[in-house]
Amino acid sequence: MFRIYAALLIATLAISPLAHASWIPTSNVNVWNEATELAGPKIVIEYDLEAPDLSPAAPAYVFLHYRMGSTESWTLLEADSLGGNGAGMVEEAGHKKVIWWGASQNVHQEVDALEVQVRALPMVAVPGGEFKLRSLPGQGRDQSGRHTTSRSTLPTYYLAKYETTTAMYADYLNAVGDDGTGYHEKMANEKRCGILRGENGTYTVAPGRENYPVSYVSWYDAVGFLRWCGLRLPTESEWEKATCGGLFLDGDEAKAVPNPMPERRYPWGDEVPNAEGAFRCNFDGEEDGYPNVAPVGSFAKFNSPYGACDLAGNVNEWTIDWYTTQHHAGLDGYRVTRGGSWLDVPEGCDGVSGATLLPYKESSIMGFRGVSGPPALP
Amino acid sequence: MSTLKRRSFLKSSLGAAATLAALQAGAGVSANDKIIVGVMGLGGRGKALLASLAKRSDVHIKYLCDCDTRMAGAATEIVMEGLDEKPTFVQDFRTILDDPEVHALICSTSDRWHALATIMACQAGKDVYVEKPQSMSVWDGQQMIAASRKYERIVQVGMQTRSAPYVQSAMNYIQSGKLGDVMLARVYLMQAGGPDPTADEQPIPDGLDYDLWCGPSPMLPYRPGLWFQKHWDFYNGALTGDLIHQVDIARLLIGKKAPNSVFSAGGVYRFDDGREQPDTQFSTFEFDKVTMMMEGGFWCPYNHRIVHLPDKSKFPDWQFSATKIEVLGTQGIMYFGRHGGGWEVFEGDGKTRSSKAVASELSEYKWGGIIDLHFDDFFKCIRDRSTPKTDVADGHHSMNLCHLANISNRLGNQKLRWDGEKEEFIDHPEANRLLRAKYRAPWVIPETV
Repeated sequence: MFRIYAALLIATLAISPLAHASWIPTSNVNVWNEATELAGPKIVIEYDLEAPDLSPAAPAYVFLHYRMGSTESWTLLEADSLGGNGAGMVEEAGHKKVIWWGASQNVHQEVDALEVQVRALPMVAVPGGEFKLRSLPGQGRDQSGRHTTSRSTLPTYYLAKYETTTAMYADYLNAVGDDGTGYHEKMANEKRCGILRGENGTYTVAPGRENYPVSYVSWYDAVGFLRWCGLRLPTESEWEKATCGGLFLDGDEAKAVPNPMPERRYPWGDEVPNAEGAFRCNFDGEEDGYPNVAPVGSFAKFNSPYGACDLAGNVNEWTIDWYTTQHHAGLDGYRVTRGGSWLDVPEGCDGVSGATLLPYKESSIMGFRGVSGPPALP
Repeated sequence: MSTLKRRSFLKSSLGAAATLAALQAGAGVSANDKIIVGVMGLGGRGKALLASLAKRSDVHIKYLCDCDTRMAGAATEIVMEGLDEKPTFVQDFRTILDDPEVHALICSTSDRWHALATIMACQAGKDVYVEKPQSMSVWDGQQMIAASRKYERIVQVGMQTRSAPYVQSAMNYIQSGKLGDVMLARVYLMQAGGPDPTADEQPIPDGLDYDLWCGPSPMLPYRPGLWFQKHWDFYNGALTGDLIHQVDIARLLIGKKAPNSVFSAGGVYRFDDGREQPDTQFSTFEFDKVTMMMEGGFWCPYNHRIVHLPDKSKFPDWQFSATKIEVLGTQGIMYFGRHGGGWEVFEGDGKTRSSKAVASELSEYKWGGIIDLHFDDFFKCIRDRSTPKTDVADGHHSMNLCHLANISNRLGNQKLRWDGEKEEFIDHPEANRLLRAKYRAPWVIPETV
């Protein structure tokens, strides 16, 4: 018999309209050893992905962990060792099959002890092509040489549709162990985060806080979570393109859908977030309905051109990019953040401005989301 | 006086004497009262100061101010997390000056606002903590001192190293004569650097009062980023803007006020990125028999700041310190570290032709630790009206060395003779014209404060 684990199902997922704010539900995970005639044994993992609205533009990113017995730690199954139709970007719901070619002899021989977890994260596709970059990444210290403030090009990449939630983060904390790495006591603040650490070293989310963005995360915490997922933080350029759109929203290969506002200031256009009595994101104050953070996806009418939620406001988001000043010769380690937060004025939630923060800061306005794409250039 | 009238009065007071200090409360604060402050300028330096202020139980941060509203969020969060209070955010610092409850203005803007904000705050009866470099010109500094003295205001400059505990013992050592006769002080900012690209011109973003942001400097077309730091009208230069810390301590250690002459070597030799200020600058100041040499360069990747020392076992690693100070006497040499580091003295043995350490007070400080100590001094002075460790006059005399070096450089690295009492160059009208910065009305340093 194989031990089988589906992704954690949050009780509210089935009934909440924000169900996709956490992992996309998976079920019926099965794992077995299968011999092939020519290539030797392989591990096969099957599961059902329960998300009717997946598409090439809005796929699920599926990642898997395994361990050999309950006393072992979980290990990410590397994407380049997996085949089938159920790992990485998955564009359709249904029954999925993952073929694990890279398993060691030990895994094959002791497959009875093999445990597998499957998790699926909602993403949006950002098709490759030109876009108008209006910021100066890293205040000009982007060393890739690929980006100017006139026109830049990025290959296709995928951005998490939502900011990382408390439910996802608590799941991560429980998976990586009980030594407290990645957890800070301030996360227990139920107005601004709401992840509680039990005496036994397990983590729970305060009831009702599951779909809120995780906060009080340092840059290192964010990187730790995303490495566990097999993702990384976005670059400033990626973040800005996802917010404002490329010159063609379907990318430079198709060029069938021109972006009506490639230099837009906010994900939805140029109107400030509180123009004409409408509230388009969670900024400072209570008038938008949220004195602190809001559940992710609360302003879905004002998504980015690619369907990403909350790129303006709610929690400010870490990027992978450095910020340096000549005085400090790049050694002070500031990282650029984007998007503004629930404590920013409406104009501070735009898609162009960046802020900077030392990476160890565990701030109530800081959150993050992941990217899957080519390696970020330095 | 209503707020509106007071605001109008302040606006009209630019260039004319002001008497608001007499109308404002802020003359002293009892030991039990919290000191009420407003913080102007919420960029990297402003947030670093807020991180220190937000740890203090003796301070109430009533206002946060930046002409760019986009800076509000991260700064507000620091205060909310530290003090569990939400400051009022304002775009115009005159709102802080108008509030009679406020005792002190913390000015952490970029260079161009330091002098005028300090003078206006003094006129409004506020004590001032102003970041370095405190002035854009010698004239700025003179008027800052005048305002501080006229309105009896505490003005502390953000050269925090003066508050490091090991400064006093270093001074004591030198004054005891153990170094012999002090002949030379060398200060360094020799570290890695790079070109700074300039972004395209763009429309002024929502939420930015660009007119106020430029302030006394020319209102050039808006661009994102740090482009303005390349221009003399906005900035003292990346080298002297940071060397001021080392220059100030060196001047303190050798006990000199003003040099007799200055000459420079250097220019924009390394980075062809449109900058006006040198990336390579070596300046020499003569103080009678004592010489100070200021060495700046942004092309030294082998050097490091002590706070960034990668291998802590090598602390303080004087050889590769990017920001060290050396005081050379006829008996010994003292190495002194900024950002912590402490000091260490070496003497030579003529018989064995060897050198060895003979005294030291090595001291590591965590990031921000010396800022905390500097604020301790500032708030103590607000309560007891004593002179702060980096009084505006001390800051001025140190900053003058940077101004003199820059003027020498701007005039083709000429050697210039300086009258320290009159604070003017001797027989050099062209150099004297550079003793005042350019100002953009109405943000002009007044003739009479």
